[in-house]
Amino acid sequence: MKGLFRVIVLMALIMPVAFANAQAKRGKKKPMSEEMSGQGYGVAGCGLGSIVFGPKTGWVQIVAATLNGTGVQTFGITTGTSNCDMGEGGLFAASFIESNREVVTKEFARGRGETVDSLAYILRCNDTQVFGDKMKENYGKILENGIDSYETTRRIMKTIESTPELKSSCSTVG
Amino acid sequence: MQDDGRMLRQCFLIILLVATVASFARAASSAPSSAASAEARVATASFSSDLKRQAIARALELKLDERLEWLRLVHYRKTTLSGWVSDIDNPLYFVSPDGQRDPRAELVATLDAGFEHVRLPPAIPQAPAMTVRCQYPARWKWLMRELAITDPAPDVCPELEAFRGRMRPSSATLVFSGYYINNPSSIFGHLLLRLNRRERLLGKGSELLDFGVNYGAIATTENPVLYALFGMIGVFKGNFTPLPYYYKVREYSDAESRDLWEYELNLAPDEVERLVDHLWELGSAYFNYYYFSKNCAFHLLALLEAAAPRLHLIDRVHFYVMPADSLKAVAHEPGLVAKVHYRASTLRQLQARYSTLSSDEKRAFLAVRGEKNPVEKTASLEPVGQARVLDAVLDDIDYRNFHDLVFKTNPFVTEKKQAVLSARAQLPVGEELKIEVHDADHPELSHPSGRWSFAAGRASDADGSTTALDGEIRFALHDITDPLDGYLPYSQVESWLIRGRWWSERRRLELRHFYLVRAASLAPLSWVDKKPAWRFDFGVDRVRDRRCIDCLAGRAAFLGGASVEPLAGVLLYALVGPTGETSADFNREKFLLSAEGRIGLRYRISHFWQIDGEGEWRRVFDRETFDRLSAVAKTRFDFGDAALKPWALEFEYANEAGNEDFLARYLRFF
Repeated sequence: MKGLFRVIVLMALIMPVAFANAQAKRGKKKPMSEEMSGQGYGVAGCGLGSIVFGPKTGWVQIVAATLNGTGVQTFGITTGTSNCDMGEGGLFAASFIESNREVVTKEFARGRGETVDSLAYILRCNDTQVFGDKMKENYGKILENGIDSYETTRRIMKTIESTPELKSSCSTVG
Repeated sequence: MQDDGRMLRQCFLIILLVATVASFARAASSAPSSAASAEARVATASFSSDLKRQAIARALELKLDERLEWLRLVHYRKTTLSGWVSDIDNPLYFVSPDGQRDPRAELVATLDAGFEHVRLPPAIPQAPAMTVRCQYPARWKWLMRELAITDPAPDVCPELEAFRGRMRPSSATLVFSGYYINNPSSIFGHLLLRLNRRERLLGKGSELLDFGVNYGAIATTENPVLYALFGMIGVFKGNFTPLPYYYKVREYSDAESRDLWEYELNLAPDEVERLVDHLWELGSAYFNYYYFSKNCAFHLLALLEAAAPRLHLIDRVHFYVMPADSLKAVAHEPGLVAKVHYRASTLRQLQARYSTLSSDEKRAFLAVRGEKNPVEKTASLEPVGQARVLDAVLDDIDYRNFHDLVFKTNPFVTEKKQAVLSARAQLPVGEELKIEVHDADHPELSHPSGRWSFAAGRASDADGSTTALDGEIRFALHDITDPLDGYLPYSQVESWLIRGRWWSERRRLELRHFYLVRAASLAPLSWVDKKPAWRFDFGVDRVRDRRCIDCLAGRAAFLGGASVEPLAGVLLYALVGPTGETSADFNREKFLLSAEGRIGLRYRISHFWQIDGEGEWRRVFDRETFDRLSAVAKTRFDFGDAALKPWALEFEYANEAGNEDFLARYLRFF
């Protein structure tokens, strides 16, 4: 009896977490952390500050998004040359858009939101309201179906260049 | 012959000469390049070694190795035999080979290596080899200050400076993410720290661009059984990793629809500086991860205590700790929390948006959210109304399909969202969404995690009734009858729940049940989603019927069903499912399967008074199938402030397959 009790208690220690984990694997909402391990740091392309799109479609390796690594004494550096036409601010913007895509599309369509404020800051635009209005106005072009976050960023920067109100309030380094 | 030999000798001598010169040249180049600086180095070296000897002597005289600041910076804990051991389990982390258990040796080694400008071997493979000043800036700064020494030869630390430049915080914020029952590592919530960038004081950018500091385990197995076991017994390594805060917001707020509560901390500028430096130090540290005790809740407190030695937060929590406990330790420290900010999950935003819709708009929203083309159906509304409805539709699409959208696994949903977005972009900018936060929602005001109770009354068994005394202890966390403040409504998680009974006339003391986990979600069906209600039990229960005269059986049950809220405060639910039980003392089959059904009614009459009842039907598939009915009816009165040590009185009638109990119970939280 005592032996069985012990076995039961031991299993009891394992089962609930195992069960919940099995539930998670059965396709229920899997925690993002499992899909996107923050451990897979890497920086690539165009020297420091460039981005590598991770193994899953539309996801980004985090450290690149933070420019030059996170500072934890564990980052690998690889080399590459794509998307070097955007400068540091542009690369940061592209990786931010990629990592926050679903909310960026929503807030650009609304013309307001935290991601709008963040991108305005990254692209050195002082007037977030004008920035939001113009992103909304040019939504169809900037977030056209099928283009990636790099291209979206290029189009945003082109919009800034070609819109007088934005050009004057942004000092985006090209 | 002789000529060849001579030539050979000459060649040999030339090679020897070249090799010697080359090796000297290499040795010279690995030291600072010029002769002048080599001389200067010799000069400072002898000055340094005097200073070093003085520093070490003074440090030992002042007993700096016994000081709280030092012990906390190296994460030393007292052992039972009044020694010390560091929580840091990476043996390469320490400067001294005895560093993990000897604070004095570590301190002396730190000073020694520091003054000698020794490049320490890296503690983790990919890290560069750094000197003490660059690897342990927090330690060094503190030592120099305590010893009143102006560092004569500071090192240049490019990686450290780059890190400091990227972090540049003006303050830190403790972030609590709410309970999430679908992920075992998040059942009890999660805690992380956010470093607030200096520029935000000028209103630049948003919190999303700040750095979050996360402590978590590195799981090395996907096998669920091993994952659970290893996570609990310290096989996994845990470490601190900085991540962009937006990553955490997307993970918690969007993917898992959890609310985030952000507590801005009042830390002095030098404490914030030490926090950043100490984080840098911890970059090469790992700790053995223990799910119940040395987890994120513990290590974040340890981090804060290392940065601000005036704080004594770990003293306030139990030996086992969960995120809400740590949060409360911080919140109850006078003056530590400057302000609280609530960040609503997608679900909450959706619910808030829905409540701002007019009745026409509500009808439109409910009609269109399932439609392939919601835009067409809203055309009859005014543009401002259309915008409101489409904003709600967008939040709804995100809430229900976040994973599919991010990983592009459902083209239908992706296309639908794009159509709604294009339409939304043509409509006017809407009003900012304002979400009401009630005091009662604050997690730091929730009831404590532990609860014990004592009951007295009459209980009966096959031989009649007798006086009974029950004692119960539950280490975590919350059931539906407990005070609601700060918890998810309709959700319950109980862990380490043990009840014993003393039958006085029978002179019998017994274990009534021990549940390792008892969890349930009884959220009523609502317009938001039609999630089923469920319940999961895992533990050991006492059995007295045809299965055995009197024994303990291991029990696992998983029930599913539905619940509704017909009137405010009234909950009605029905659950059904299989139960497995096993005991060596069962009369016939040792492992029995049963079908279990439960029906329950809860009525929360007021904040202070509630009644509830539950009936259970069990069909046990033994060699002879038999049925078993039980029922419980309770009424409960809660007293006191949930945030302190509230207590309650409960009166219970239970009927277990004909055996009746009448009990009066006193419950108290700890």
